[in-house]
Amino acid sequence: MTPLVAVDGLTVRYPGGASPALDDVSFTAGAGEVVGVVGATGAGRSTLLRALLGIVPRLVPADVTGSVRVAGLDPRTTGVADLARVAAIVLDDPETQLSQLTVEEELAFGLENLGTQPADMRHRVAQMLDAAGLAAFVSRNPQELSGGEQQRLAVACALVVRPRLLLLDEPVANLDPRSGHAVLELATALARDAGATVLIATNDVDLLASYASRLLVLGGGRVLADDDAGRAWASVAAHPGWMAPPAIAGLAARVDPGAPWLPSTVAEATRWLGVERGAADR
Amino acid sequence: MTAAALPARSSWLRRLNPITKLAWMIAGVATALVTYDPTVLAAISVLVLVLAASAGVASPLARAMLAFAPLAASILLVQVLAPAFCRPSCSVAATVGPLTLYAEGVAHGLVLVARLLTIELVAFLAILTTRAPDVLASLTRLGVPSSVAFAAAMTLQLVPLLRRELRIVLDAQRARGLRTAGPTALVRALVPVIVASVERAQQLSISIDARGFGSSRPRTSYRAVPLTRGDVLGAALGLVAAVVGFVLGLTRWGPDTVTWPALPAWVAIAVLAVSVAGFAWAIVRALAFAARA
Amino acid sequence: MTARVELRGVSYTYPGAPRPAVAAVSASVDAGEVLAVVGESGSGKSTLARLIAGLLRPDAGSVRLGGTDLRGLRPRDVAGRAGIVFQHPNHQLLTSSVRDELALGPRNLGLDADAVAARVAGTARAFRLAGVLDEHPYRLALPVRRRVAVAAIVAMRPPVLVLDEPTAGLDAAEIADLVAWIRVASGGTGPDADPSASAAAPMPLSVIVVTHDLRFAGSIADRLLVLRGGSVAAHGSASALLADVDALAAAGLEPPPLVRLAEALRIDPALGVAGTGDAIVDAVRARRGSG
Repeated sequence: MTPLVAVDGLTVRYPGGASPALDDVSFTAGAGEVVGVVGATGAGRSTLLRALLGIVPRLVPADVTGSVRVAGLDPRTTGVADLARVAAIVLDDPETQLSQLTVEEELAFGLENLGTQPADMRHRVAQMLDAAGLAAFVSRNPQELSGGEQQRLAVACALVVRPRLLLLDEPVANLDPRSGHAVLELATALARDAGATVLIATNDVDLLASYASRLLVLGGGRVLADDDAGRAWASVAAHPGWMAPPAIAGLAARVDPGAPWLPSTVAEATRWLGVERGAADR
Repeated sequence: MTAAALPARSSWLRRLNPITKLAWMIAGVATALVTYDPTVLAAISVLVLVLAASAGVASPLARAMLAFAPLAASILLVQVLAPAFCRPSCSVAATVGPLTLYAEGVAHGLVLVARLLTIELVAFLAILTTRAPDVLASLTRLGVPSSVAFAAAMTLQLVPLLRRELRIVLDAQRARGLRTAGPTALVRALVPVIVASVERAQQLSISIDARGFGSSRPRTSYRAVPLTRGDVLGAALGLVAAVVGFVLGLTRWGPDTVTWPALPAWVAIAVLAVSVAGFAWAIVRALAFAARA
Repeated sequence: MTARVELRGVSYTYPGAPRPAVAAVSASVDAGEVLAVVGESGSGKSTLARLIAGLLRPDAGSVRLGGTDLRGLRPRDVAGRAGIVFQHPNHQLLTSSVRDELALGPRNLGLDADAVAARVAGTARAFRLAGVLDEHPYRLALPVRRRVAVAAIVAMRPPVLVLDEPTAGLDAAEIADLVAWIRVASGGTGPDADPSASAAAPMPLSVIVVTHDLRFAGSIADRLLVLRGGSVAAHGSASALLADVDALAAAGLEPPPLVRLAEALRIDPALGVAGTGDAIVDAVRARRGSG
């Protein structure tokens, strides 16, 4: 079965950039997977997500070589509307994503663009309002919502069009941990129900640990590791120059240097250490 | 638009179709624009106030009118002291020191102010009883392209956003020891705000592109503001009223056909005093704002 | 000591708001101390930061910097006593070059041209900005822009420094950088290393950091102020409070990851506050396999 996302030899060079933002990147992701895209600043996470949507090179000029396929479509040549039906993105700042005067219109915006029938739109908007816990805000101006609520709305807007690929680019960068968990919880749960693939690019690896079972570790535009989360963190721990692992994985690496698999949540760690779970944990 | 922030009392005026309201607003404005007859202007204003009270927007309306007080005061002052016309000659109503107050000037000034207030009352009543999203949806219904409606929605969102950003930037400037009041400070604060706005606009345009906006596919509309036959009839009547009112205003209620009673001197002096006071208050407020550190 | 911050019963309600954003908060910070202000979203952290920096006047209570009540000062005069760095650097970059950015504050404080130049050079050195002095601030990457924003405030040598969510958008290495810098600044040896000793002797700063990142708080804070609904929920030593799972939970907060792990492993949670040190590694090893 062809993977939902297939990237082969992708190289992206921005005008005036000394080195490529992405350098010969190849990876695949299947339907329903939740993949974390991590790496130090400048590793190319944002560029990769934008290349998957064709934002690079269509809206942000760059020199792009290699192949990208999302649900069989090539983002560089597929029409905007056709790709919007298949892939959606959530960014870090709600102010750059929300533009309508009411929450329900914001949700409907993407559906309107795709020519959805009004009756169908009403149904889907109502359903998503409930699923996202935003029903109380239906007629409110999105500007009045808190940062966490706005990001939940942004996730809802991305998912209401039922994309097959959901991209999250630093979705929790400006949020407190509780809101951050709510946003990622919502995104992964709804995506799971819809069978969509999720790629989450973030600096907050401690938060990510509860959601992503697979990791793509980038560094200097290259793929450093592409593996199950535990093994990926073991690679990261073995290469101190790459990036910093989650706190728990870092500790585990010191407890058992050279371990091929490292836990990154409290639950994983207690199991790994062979200790009966103490308090409630994530 | 502030209608969304008001208590949700459902009055017929609030529920009235925006297109119909727009048509009748045009009727009121068109009539007041050309009318000199104070009775007609008063009638329109009273009607507006009654409607406002019934829709629960009487006090926001009154507050909005207050914002025009400086403008009204300056119009009045100019007309009283230097009337634009005198035909065939102006009769003197009173003399205050070196100033001569002409009856026609005072009357003309009062009528201008009355027209200004009437137009504002009509317009604000329409604004305060209509929600912005409904207006945009109605316009789209009328055939206005969705990109225009979208741009209008974005612009409405901009004002509170820019205000918030400006406040933060001014705070940052104060933290660096810079003055934060007066025109220079505002101009200096505008640079980061403008840069931030441009960056935000760029990101937003990428965002909406990614959501499929601007593709050649026909767009559907989520918000359906129902347009019944009654609404269309009401709107048509409103436009007819606009034409009738305009014509009547030019012919039967114009300056030549209105006869003024002779103005006693004390009236002229009182009007002068009120307009000077209003004008001075506006100047003082402006200076205080500029001087605040 | 001009760096001491004292809050006594400070309250503030935003105009038109139904409840106070900050209610009767009392706390103090001494020179050389770092206080982390933590709390849920909406607990009043940012409002408190603005009150300390003199950008807002308290409705009740007093904010004293170095013994002087801010109420008696004009807003512009507070600039030399407390500096605040906001979450989004863009809002604070007011000039077209990094050099001008660093010079702006000292110039407004009335320093002469030579002193200003010395401050610019010293601060640029301390913040590793010497290479970008002629760059336009908006063209720099976010972490560098943030360094410029912080440096521009520090160049004014305020005895009190307030940082509002300084880690937003930074990766772990950049956060570690920030931690190192804050320690240096609070100890008073960093940006004061300029040759022209026309400035006073190096002075340790009082640093107040508003953050929702408890892991970051654990690595820099001496003391912690926990807010809930505008009031003080807890106030004390950072290492003690960050390990107090119950106190944090009562304020709607989750402890840093290693504290949670320590608690689940039934070892001393305090070991988890400082990060991955030998003590916690040994304790975990000892617990291993013991079921």
